[in-house]
Parts: sequence; structure tokens; C-alpha cells
Amino acid sequence: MSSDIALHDPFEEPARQQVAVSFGMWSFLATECLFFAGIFLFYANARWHGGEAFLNGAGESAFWFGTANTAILMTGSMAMAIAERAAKADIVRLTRWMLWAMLALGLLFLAVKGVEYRKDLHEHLFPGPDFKLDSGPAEQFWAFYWAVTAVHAVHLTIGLAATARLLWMDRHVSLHRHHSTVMASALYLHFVDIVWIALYPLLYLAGRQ
Amino acid sequence: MSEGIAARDLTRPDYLQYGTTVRSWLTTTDHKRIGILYAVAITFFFFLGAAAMALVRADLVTPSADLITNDQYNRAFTLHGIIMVWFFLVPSIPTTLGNFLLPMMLGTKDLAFPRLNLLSWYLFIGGGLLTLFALLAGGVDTGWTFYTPFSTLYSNSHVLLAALGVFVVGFSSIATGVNFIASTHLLRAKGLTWMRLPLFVWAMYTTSLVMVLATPVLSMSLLLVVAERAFGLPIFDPRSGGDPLLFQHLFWFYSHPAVYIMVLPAFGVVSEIITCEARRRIFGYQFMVYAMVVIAVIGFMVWGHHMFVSGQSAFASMVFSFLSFVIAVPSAIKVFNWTGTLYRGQVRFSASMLYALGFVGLFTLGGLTGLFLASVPLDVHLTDTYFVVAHFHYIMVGGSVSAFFGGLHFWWPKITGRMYSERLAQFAAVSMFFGFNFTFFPQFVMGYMGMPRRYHVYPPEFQPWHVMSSVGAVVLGFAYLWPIFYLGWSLVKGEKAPDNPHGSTSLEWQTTSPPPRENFDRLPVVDAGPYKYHPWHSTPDEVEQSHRPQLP
Amino acid sequence: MKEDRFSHIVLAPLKSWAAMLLLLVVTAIYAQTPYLPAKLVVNVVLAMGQIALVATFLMQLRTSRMLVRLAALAGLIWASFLFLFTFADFLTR
Repeated sequence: MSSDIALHDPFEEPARQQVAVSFGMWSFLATECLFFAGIFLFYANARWHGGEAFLNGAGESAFWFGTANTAILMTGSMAMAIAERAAKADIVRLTRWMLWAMLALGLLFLAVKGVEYRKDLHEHLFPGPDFKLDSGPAEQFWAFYWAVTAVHAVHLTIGLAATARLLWMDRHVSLHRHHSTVMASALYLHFVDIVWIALYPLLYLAGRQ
Repeated sequence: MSEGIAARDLTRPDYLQYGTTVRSWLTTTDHKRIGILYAVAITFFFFLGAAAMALVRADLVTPSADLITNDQYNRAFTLHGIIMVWFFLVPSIPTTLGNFLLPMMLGTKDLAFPRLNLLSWYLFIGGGLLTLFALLAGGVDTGWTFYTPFSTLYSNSHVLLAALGVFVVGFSSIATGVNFIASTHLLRAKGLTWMRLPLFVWAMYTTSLVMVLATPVLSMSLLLVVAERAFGLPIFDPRSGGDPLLFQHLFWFYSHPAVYIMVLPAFGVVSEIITCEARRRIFGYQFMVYAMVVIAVIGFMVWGHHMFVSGQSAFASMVFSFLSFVIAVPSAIKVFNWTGTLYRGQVRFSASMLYALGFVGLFTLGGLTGLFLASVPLDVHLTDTYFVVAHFHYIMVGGSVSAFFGGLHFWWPKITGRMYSERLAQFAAVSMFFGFNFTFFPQFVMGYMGMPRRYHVYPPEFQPWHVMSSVGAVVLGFAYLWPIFYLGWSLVKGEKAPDNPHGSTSLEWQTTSPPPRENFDRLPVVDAGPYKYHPWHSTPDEVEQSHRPQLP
Repeated sequence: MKEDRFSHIVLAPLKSWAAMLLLLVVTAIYAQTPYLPAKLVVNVVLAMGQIALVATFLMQLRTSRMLVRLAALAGLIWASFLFLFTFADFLTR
């Protein structure tokens, strides 16, 4: 029932509030799209002009870590989608489990990323004086890698914080009444997943034989 | 006429009296109070940025470096640019007048996301504090444009802090933009269709579109500067195959639309003032709307005109040059339409009207000189000279700041519930016009003659122009300070304002001055378009003067 | 829970997830197999397919109002301006 939705000022009808939250979050995601477009532009230019050297740099990325993380994040996205639908249908337990699943999978992603970072550093893949390959396009690939994965991780962390907040809210109020908040968090995390899906071929499939 | 307020509950507190603790102000979600919080903040930053410029103009009185060193000079004009662009001009009209008026002009209680609105103010303050910290720690010397590789590899100033400050304040912009867009789409009063909206609302809407779509690219460009400078990641470094021009593309992708963020709101304010003070409907409402939309969209396709001499390809330069000429057309349409609005009007030369008329003239001059700069061969001669400096100051200061002051005066009775001295305000408006022209017209001349920008040591033949400019700046400074006195005085001793001292037909004037917390006692229902100052298709020879008599 | 509710709440996301995983396997194998043509194009197209699945089904753009879809589209279109005009410079130097 929409009659028991928590209404925030200045809205007078739940349906309108729902559209507003959805539209507002999508507008924000449009800004995120432009935000990442900037760094994708850097990649596109570097790859276009970097030729073989760029691909050599790309070939050093940890394929299995990246692929596993992609699967992990996709699964999290699915969990979040179920959570949002369950909240709308007021199925409390399913909502709660799926939110926990998202949190767990997100943290797993960050853990895998952490291990991968350690491996990359160990193999001298951080740009600088003791970079593994020659300075130049290969180094630019790795500049992109470190910058974009760090920014992505920050976004994921924000999404996980939003999920944790939902779980905290769940202890005090009905998430069904605050469904639009759940929906907003879900949209954000789906976007985080989308960014990673876009990054995956650029980071892990480039320069493969 | 729209149904406004019939019976008012005169005992109900207005939005200023509803909670008087500091805490009630700092935790408010009332768009009107947030508008005032922003007004206080941007006033502080305005005077800080002006102080930096006072230092610069004082130093420029003599051809040699008499007052400050080269390094200090670089930091002074950089500070001036960063503060004036991001902490004064970009927020000015949208966050003060926009926040206050938009819900009222839409006929609703508040913006779509009131808590997000408050967050946007805190983000603004946060970004401001970071930038202030950068200043106190010694400043930045890269120019407000942060060009690489100087900013990433060679500058010895606090680039990181300043970049982070601007990064944070960008989120404030985005939050405000999302809020305005959602509100305009989803909270319009019954009967208030898109083509019945006041032009100020359209201005806020188009500005918000630009804020939302442009700012994130700036954020990324600054983030990449931080990544290169702080972590040594080779992004723009040519030694690793990086392209410094990539930074410029990313930076100007935002910074050109940013100038439309700064001028579109001014368009809205001027339309509101001119119609009311001339007692005329706007000439060509639809074209005024389309012009703003076209400017907002094409504004994203002209940024390369800042890069004609940077190493951009000739082909790209041609494309950007052509589109820069194209974008002059909608602006020109607006100027013609404002002029057409005045025809057969009963013009009242109030202070707000003087500011608005000043806007039209100064914006035209600034816009025309922009055409010179859009031409590639002319730009090769004029770029990085004072001609460019004069061009953008004519638009941003002669234009936007004039409009901001005009709007401040026009809506002062509504916001504060007080009337200020009209005579003193008219004096301020005229002083500003003269001071402005004395400051910036000489800059066109000396720029054309070859005086470079951002230099404080110059050949002696430029000195007369610099002296004229600096003297003008003193007059301009007075014109900016003077309103503080009579506006401040009005808060204490000004007579109480009636609901609608100007006789405007806009929705915000159909409620009390100052308005109640919820804006209207009864949400309005609209049945006609804006500016109902006379019947359609009739140009009356005589219009009944409905303005209040002027008080000295 | 009821059949149709289960279908909407659990099955629909599950199906999207399965399709995305399939695309992931395909794209990973395609990239790793030697002597296959146009790897970048194929990988990017498959990624776009996965993104379309997330946006349309998981983020429910399919059932959203035109206004919401416009917001999504605007981000993409404006990002394309950035690429279009910048590459107009990069490719013609």
C-alpha cells in the first residue's frame, strides 16, 4: 500500500515523492556518468596514442582478480535489486538478507581488490622510478588503473555505507515505509556496478593474448 | 489573476521569526533561510576576492613591482579568480535569490529535497574553508585555471588544498542543481504549465542543467591534478606521453559552461525587473525561453575557444570558433527582446531598474567583444591580453554582478520585510555603472595595445591606462560597499514593507513580506502566464502608475 | 510467497544476473583466445550489453517515466559531447 509510505516535506503524495527520488538519483547518476567520462577520456587518448606499449602495460593486470571481482559485484547488484523489490513488497526478512548479502559481497570486492593491490605493488606496477616496464604509455595505463580503481573503491565504500545505514534503519523503522530510500541506495550501487562493468574490459581484457 | 491569499493569519510568525536560535538557523531546511545563509557566505567571499583585487590594482598603478613580489602577485590574482568564480559568482544568484524565490515562484512550500539543500550549504562552507586554509597556508600561484604541467609538476604553492576546496564546492553546485531541476519538474502549482513559468524560473532551470552536467568534469580534472601531483601518476606529464591539453579540454568543458552558470541567472533576474518596472509583458516570451535553453546546450560545445593558441588542432579550432559565433545569436535575441519590452513602457528608474538597464548595456558590450575573441585570427592577437580580461569582466561583473545587485534590491522588501532608501540605492547603482566602466574600459584599449594579463611589471606606456583602471576600481569599490550601509540601515530602521511594493504580478509577491514559513497560506492555483501588466495584444498609451511613491 | 511476487521480486533479477554472467564468460574467453578479430570492439559491445541489462532491468528504466529515462540519457549524451569534441582535436593534430 502506498498510503503508509513515509512522506517528506514538501510532498503531498507518495507517488510524486517516489518519482522525485528516482529522478533526483538518476540526475545525480548522470553527473557521475560525466565524472567518470573524464577519466575514460584519458584512457581513450592514452590507448589511442600509446599503441603496443600501452597494451603491454595493460597485459600486466591481474585477470583472475578482475574477473572474480566483476562477478562479485554483479551478484551484489542482483542482491540489491531483490532487496529493493522486497522492500517495496514489504517482505522484511528477504530485504534484510539481501542487504546483508550486498554488504558482504561489497566488502569481499574490497578485500579482493586489496590483495590485488598488494600483488601489483609487489610486482612494481606503481608508476615511479622502479616501475616494472618502460616509462611512457605502459606507465600511463597504470596511472589510469590506480586512479580509477581508487575512485571506484571510494564510490563502492559510499554505497556500502548507504547499505549499512539501511540495515541500521531496519532495526528501528519499516524499510517498506522508507522504500524510496532503499530505491535510491540501490540505484547508486547499480551504478557502481555499471562503472566496474565498463572498466573490466579496459583494465583486464586489454593486451591479452 | 492567480488566486493568492485572501485572509491572512496576521498572528502567525514569518519565516524569520519562526525559531530564533543559532541552532534553528544552522539546522534549517527552509529554503528561504538557506538562501540567507548562502547570502552571508558569498558576501564574505566577495569581499575577500575583492581585497585580493585591491592588492592587484594597487600594485598595477606603477609599472614596476613596487608593492608585492612576483610570486605574491601570482598568488593574489589566483586567489581573486578562484574565490570570485567558485565562491561568489557561480553560487551568487542561484543559491541566494534562486533558493529563496524558486519554490515561491513555483507556488509550492519548499524545494524537492530540503535536507539536500542544507547539505549543499555545508558543502559550500567546507569547500570554502579548505580554500581559505590554502590561502592562509600561503596561497596558490597557478592562476584560477590550474594549467598543467605547472600545477602538477612545478608549482611550489598549495595546489592540492585549493584543488580539493574547489572539488568539494562542486558538489554543492550539483546538489543545488539537482534540487532545482527536480522541483521545477515535479512541484509546480496547479495550472502552472512550463510556458507559464516566469523567466526567472526558466533561468534557474537552465542554469541547474548546466551546473549538473558540467561540474563533474571539473571535479575529475582537479582529481587528476591531485593524482599526478600527490601520487606521481603520469597523466598529463608529456615525458610519459601525457597531453597537457587533455587537462585544458577537461577544465574548459566545465569552465566555459560555468560562465553560462554565471550569466543565465542574471538573464532571469533582469527579465523580472524590466517587466515589472516598465509595466510591460516581456517581448517574445517563447524566444526568451528557447534562447536560454539553446545557450545552455550549445554552451557545452564551444570550450575550445579558450585553447586556440594552446596547440589545439586547426580543425577543432574552426569548429569551436564557428559554434562560438552561433551562441552569440540567442544572447542577442534576448538583448533585443529586453529592449522591445521597454517600448511603450512606463519606466520607473528605481535602483533595481538602473541595475537591470546597466546589465543590458554592459552585457551587450561584453558579448560583442566576445565575438572578436571567437574569431581565431583576432584571438591570436588578443588572447592572454587585457582585452580578454575586460571582456569577461564586462559580462561577469558589468553583467552578472549588476543583475545580482538589481535582484537583491528588487526582492529586498520580500526577503527582509523592510524598505531601503531608494535615493541612496540609485546613487549606488549609478556609481557602480561609472566605476565599472572606468575600471574596465581602459582594459580593452590596453589589451588591444598588447598589455598581457597576469603581469605586474609592464612597459611604461601602459601606465596611464592602468592608473585610470585602478582609480575606477576605487569608485567601484565604493559602489559595492555603499549598499552595506543603507541596506544594513534598512534592517534596523527601514519601514516595514507591504506585501507588494512594486505592484508585481509574480507569485512571490502574492504573499506577505516576509513570507510565512510555508510561503503561502493557501497553495496558489494559476490560470495565466506571467507578467500580466496589461492585456494581451494591446499597448496602452497610458498605464496607471501603481508603484508606491518614492521615499528619499 | 505468491508465485507472481516471487517471479517479480527474485526471478527477474536472477535472470538478469544469469545473462550478465554469461556475457562475462563470453567476453573473458573472447579476449583470451588468440587470433580473434576486433577484440576491443567485441569486449566493449558486450560490456554495453551488460550495462543495458543493469539499467533496463535491475534499475527498472524499462518501467520508469520518460522524465527519469531522460535523466539517464542526458548523462550519456553530454559525455558523448566531451568525447566527440575532444577527439576532434586529438585526431586532427
